[in-house]
Amino acid sequence: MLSYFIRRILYLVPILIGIALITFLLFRVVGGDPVDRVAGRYATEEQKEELRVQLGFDRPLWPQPGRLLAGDLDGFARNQLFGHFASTFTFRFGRSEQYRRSISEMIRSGAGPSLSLTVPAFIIGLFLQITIAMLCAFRRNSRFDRTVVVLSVLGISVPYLALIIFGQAYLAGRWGLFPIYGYPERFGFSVVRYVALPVLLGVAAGLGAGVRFYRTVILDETRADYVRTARAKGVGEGGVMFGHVLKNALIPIITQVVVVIPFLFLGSLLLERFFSIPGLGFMLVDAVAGADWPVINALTFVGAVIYLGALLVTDLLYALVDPRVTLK
Amino acid sequence: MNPVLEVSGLRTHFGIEKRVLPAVRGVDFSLSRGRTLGLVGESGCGKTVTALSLMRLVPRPGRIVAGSVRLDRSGGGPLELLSLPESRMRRIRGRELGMIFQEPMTSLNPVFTIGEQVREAIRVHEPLGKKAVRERVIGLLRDVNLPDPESRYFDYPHQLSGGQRQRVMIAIALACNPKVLIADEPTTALDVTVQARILGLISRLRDRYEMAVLLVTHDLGVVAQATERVAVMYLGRIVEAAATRRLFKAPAHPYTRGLLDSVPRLGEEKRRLAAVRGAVPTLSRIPAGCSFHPRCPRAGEVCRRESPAPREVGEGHRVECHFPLE
Amino acid sequence: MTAPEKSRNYWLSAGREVLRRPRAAVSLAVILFYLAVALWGFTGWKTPDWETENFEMAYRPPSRAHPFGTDIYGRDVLAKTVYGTRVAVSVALTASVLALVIGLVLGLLAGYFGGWIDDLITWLFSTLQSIPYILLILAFAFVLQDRTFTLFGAEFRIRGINAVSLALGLTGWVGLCRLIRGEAIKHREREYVLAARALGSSPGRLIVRQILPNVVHLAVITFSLGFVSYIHAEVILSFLGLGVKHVPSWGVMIDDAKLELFRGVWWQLAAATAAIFFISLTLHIFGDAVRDGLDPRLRGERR
Ligand SMILES: Nc1ncnc2c1ncn2[C@@H]1O[C@H](COP(=O)(O)OP(=O)(O)OP(=O)(O)O)[C@@H](O)[C@H]1O
Ligand SMILES: [Mg+2]
Repeated sequence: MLSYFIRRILYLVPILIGIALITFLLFRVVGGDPVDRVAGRYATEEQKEELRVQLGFDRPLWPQPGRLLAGDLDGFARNQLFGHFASTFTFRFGRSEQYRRSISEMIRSGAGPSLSLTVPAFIIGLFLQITIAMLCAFRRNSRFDRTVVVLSVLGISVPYLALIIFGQAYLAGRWGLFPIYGYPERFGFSVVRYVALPVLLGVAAGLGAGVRFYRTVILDETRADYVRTARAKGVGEGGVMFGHVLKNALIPIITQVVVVIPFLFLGSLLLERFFSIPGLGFMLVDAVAGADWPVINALTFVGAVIYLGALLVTDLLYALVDPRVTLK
Repeated sequence: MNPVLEVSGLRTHFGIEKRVLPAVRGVDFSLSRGRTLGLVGESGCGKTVTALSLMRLVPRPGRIVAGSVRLDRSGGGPLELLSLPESRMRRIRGRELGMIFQEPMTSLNPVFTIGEQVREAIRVHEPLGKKAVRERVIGLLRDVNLPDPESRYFDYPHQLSGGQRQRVMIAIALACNPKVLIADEPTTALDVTVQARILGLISRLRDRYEMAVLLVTHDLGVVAQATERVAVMYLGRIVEAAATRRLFKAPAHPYTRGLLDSVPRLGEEKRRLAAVRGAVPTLSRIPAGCSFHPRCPRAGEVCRRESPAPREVGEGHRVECHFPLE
Repeated sequence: MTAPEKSRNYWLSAGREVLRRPRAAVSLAVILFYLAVALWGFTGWKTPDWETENFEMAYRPPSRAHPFGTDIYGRDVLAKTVYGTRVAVSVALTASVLALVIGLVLGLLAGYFGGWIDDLITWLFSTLQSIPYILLILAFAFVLQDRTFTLFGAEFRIRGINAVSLALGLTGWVGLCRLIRGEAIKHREREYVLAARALGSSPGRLIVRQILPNVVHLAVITFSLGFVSYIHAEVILSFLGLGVKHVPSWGVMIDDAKLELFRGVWWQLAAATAAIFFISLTLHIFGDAVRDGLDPRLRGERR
């Protein structure tokens, strides 16, 4: 078991290197002069030069094999690629020039508000999606099932942004059912008031796609041979669905659910922006607007690391649910 | 002797969009206590659909459109299964009719232990205490000769071999002492030595519990070994039925004849392997008249026009053919 | 041993199988209508005028002269919607084609050749896949925005709409690549491919003649569903300021509506939402029909 995880983590090493390489290529090589973007429009040439040296962008981009041959190890190591790797893998992402704050600190303070929005939306959404999908599979081809199938395709087709704008303008603005936007200074019960509408909109937006997916998963499972065996024993429809089908359907469900978890941390770009929730999604939108690429770089890497962690958790859960899987 | 289960005029159709595929087209047979009826025929002739119809487990878009399936009750008259409400039919399944399926590898639920799955078969029908159920499960597993039942109880299906899984399936089917056991090709997916042992097991258990058995197979060797009577099925109809020995000795239907000829025998050099020439027609285009006539060596004018009425050609020997063999 | 014949007949019957469902036929008609509108936008021939500003006419509700009303500058919303179709379709089409080509080529290469080629491609897509998708497109769109590249001596400047298409295309191929790779591995081992290889045909010919026809339905489905997601992504990128500028797009129209709706100006939001809604709806229905009709495993089932 332990050796299994060690092997899995070793297997992640090339992927982590790949991610660091991609962010390097994107932000340092393809993205043009990194200093230009962070320094802002009004910086003087001297200021830019100073920043360049400070951030190590005066060094060569790539390792110089010539130096290595000449025995100059230090010179070989002094390049932007290695610098990028070193800071990325130690999670030292530097500062946001826009806010003049440490990025790690910004991430820490943004995660809470993001989670307060995304976790409830995720849990409520998942519960509704699976419940509705089970009901559909339970009475497949009934009028209820067909209605749900049609509604979920209609739901998928509504643009997310339009849904949010409509919800904010009507549910909060016109009808005053919710605050239009805002988030309390201190974390407390009043958060509920402010996240209620964003959560509602998030759930509504994901419902169609989720129901469609889980319905297919569960229906596939009801066609399995063991379902026929259960019926032949005299097990009722409810026992078949909840006793037999659900536990097997958990396997594809887990796959789907766990990979969503990283997105919970990253928050919701649109919802946080519209409802002024100071989470990571908000931070990302600001970073894009302010060309604050170190923030985008940091969130990309952190997001990927959480995703890879979630994959490990998936394996663990598989082993719990599916007796055929052992972690060796 | 009174039959335990009497099937007559059974018709099951698959309706796919506007097309109708008649998989079972009027089937009659009966099962008696302590006896095994073999149901044979080529792949696709409707054996499984017939068996599932008895359990009322035909999958969508299939539907039983006509017929009757009567189950003998110890007290009172026979019970018509096809008109029972689903909730009462559920109490018949597993308790009065047990069924074993063709695919032992996938017919057990992969995420539950063997013990849980046999236990469920009992607890659906009988409210017994935990301990009593457990003992009965282990007894059943012992009855089906599963080695080391106490520890197998906690095993998952993937830890068992094909033959062992089929034994567990039998234990599930027998869990409530059903009057009728329907075995749909219980040995097709297994290798030959295991086959023989499973068949022996079914016969022994049949005698012990005095069950009526319907043994579906396409293997005439199995029929010869394990049945007293045989029904031969072709395109959804039973074209010939007789005592097993009689059928093997004196088949009356040219199709049965063809099937028997296609079994390679020891000591014979060259056999025509495909003794029944041509391929099975599809259900959407069943030939008019006698549905076997395009493949029949004896077919005459009348066979193209009229479907043959069943007739008796000997004691308990029924055949549907205009020109039966002597 | 002969390869399963995927002749013109097969495609004809598959097409008929798909279009036999009225829903699929109607959806296809709507999709073609959108494409026609987009094409009209490209030709510029007698296209409605969206540019003329007229402040007297700002925020007029739908009327006979302006069936979808006017925006803050008094521009005709219908004309903007029509022009937005051009933007949406060209973004989605470019991105889809790009993703399709990359996914198909890399997937087939990895699946067919195996070895280090497979390792390299698998590494590439596993890496891209571990980056949450929204961040990935955001990062790509962000760095590609307003960049000038010199390629073969020529200078390219990537502007709004092209940056969006490129970002979506360069990131969207992963799912398809995985599918195709898996299928190609499966088909590689099949007897008829072995037989064809024994007969001495070249790998290129093999890929095109034997493997490609067997994975094409996956490509069609991914294409139609990818198309939808690119249209939705364009909206979000526009809202983030990474999308098109200075020309109307559905995304920009929806984004404008966030202030309008509080004043009761609903028509611009309604027009862009409806435009997106109907194209995604029909693409979904059409994609489902293609799957039901072309996937050999599903043929004859469900319906
Ligand atoms: N779910 C279904 N949908 C449509 N047609 C079906 C379905 N199940 C069975 N059929 C049709 O019913 C006919 C009889 O099938 P059945 O499974 O009873 O054959 P069988 O005699 O058991 O064959 P085998 O020896 O291969 O098990 C087949 O021709 C098949 O096409
Ligand atoms: Mg069968």
